[in-house]
Amino acid sequence: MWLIIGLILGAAFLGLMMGLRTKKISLTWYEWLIGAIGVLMLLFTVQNYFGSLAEVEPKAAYLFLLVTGLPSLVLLAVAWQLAARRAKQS
Amino acid sequence: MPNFHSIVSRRDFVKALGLAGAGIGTAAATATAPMFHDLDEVIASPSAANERPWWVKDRGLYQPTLEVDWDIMTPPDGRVSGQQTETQIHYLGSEEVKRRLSSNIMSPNVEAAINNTPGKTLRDQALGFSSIVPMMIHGISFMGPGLIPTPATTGAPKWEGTPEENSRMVRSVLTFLGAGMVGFGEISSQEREKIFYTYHKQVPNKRQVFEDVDVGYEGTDKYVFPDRKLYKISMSLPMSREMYRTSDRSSLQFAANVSRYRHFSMLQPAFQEFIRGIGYHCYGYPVPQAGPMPAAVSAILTGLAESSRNSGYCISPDYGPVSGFFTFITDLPVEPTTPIDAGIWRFCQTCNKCAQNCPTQVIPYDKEPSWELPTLYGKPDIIHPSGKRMFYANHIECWMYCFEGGCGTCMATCTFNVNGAAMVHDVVKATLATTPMFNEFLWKADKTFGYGVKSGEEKEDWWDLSLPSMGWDTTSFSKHGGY
Repeated sequence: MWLIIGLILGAAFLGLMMGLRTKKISLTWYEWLIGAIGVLMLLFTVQNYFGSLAEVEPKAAYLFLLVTGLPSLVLLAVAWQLAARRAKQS
Repeated sequence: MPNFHSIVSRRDFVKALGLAGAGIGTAAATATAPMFHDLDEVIASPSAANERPWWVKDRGLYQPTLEVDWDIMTPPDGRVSGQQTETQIHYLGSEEVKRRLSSNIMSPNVEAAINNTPGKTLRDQALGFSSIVPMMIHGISFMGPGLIPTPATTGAPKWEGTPEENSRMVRSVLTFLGAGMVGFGEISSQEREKIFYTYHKQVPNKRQVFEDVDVGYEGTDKYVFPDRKLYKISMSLPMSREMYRTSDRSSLQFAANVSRYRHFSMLQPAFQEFIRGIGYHCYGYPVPQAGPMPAAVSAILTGLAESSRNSGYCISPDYGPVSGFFTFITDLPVEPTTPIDAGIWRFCQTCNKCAQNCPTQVIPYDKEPSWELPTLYGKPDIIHPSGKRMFYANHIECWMYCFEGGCGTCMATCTFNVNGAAMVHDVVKATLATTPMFNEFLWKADKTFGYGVKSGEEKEDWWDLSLPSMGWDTTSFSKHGGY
């Protein structure tokens, strides 16, 4: 699973860098930080969701989606919107 | 090998230089590594110690996280534990004990079988009863079978290894035979006096004594250990966590509970024969349920586990509370392993999940452990040896309830009774080992996330799960790859 996630992450990062370069957008340090925290939390959620299902602990699995998964998506959305709105203004 | 703490062979010297070189190159990593005082320690230490995660810290010999006062400690007496009928009668009276044991875990519960009560269906009960049968068939003994050739009978020289080599060898043998984790220790004079049972737990409660003999023996009224340098080997036999989660009043939990005795009744004779086969002696259990000393004490002193809120069991940082522990006594020199600090005992002083879920409410809710023995039913506590600062549960009521219909809820619901697939468990264990301020939050989160016992029909889900052989993951303690 981690190999596939690593490949997806690598491709996504490459796509992000190419997109930023094409559109001539540079991210601020706090946008990078918020995005990185969001990605780490998302990875933590994915691992614990599938891990908890493997442990036959479905309640724990669903709570991970709520407790760490939702905030991770919020953080990623915040990082994206900060960058997008700044790019729109300039 | 003759070079332990004396002469260093060229091979060992080069090996040690390699270790030293690696140490220089990785200064940051070695900042937290154990300190070695001479070259022999560098060579010797890694082989004797258990490999553990970084957050499990070694303590000094005889310094467990549970506070112990050897001066006031009294030895355990196997005749008066909470499991003994005579002791139960002492506190409750014979009529009450007779009434309570009129239905017990070893008798069929026909009504539950007819009603398909979860945890007590016909097939649940059949599995519970059948799980214990091999232990009844395979008799084990204090001295072992004595069937295989030994150096004394063949004339071959007996095995001579360093204590570290012996520890590593014994760990390999016991792991092969089915053990989980293995720890070692010397038998000190204070252990002889204060850790060994004065009288064995198994009826007819033979005395345990040390005599000036070369080889111990079993007498008609005593188990005799030789009055010479002896060592203890402590080992765990993990059990099915999932079956334990069907507690309480569950024959599935009972099947898991007795699985350790079933495995041990096959393991012990083989191990005793191995030790004889290399020219030494191994004093074992006369029955799988009771050995020379409380197995939890031995497990704690050899660093396999830490104490817990319910003093009836101990908790391993590697596998949690759902393990059985056993202790062999031997004259084969082994290198001691030390007690550990994984933050477990400290965590138990904040967490009281087991106390909340205990069906008999006999586990204390106290915030602080105590040196004082409690009174039980208005009488002095005679079932616990003194000299330990811990939480004293009422193990009369606890064992009566277990005998009546089976329990194990405390172990099943314990915050440490978690599986290993989700990485959050390692994060939690590392956090509570290093940052106790989160303990309260962590055990409440454990409750919220739904870990612990199953209820109602969920108990029967066990029959449809695909779980490892014998109900536990035997690779849990393996450090080599390929599994």
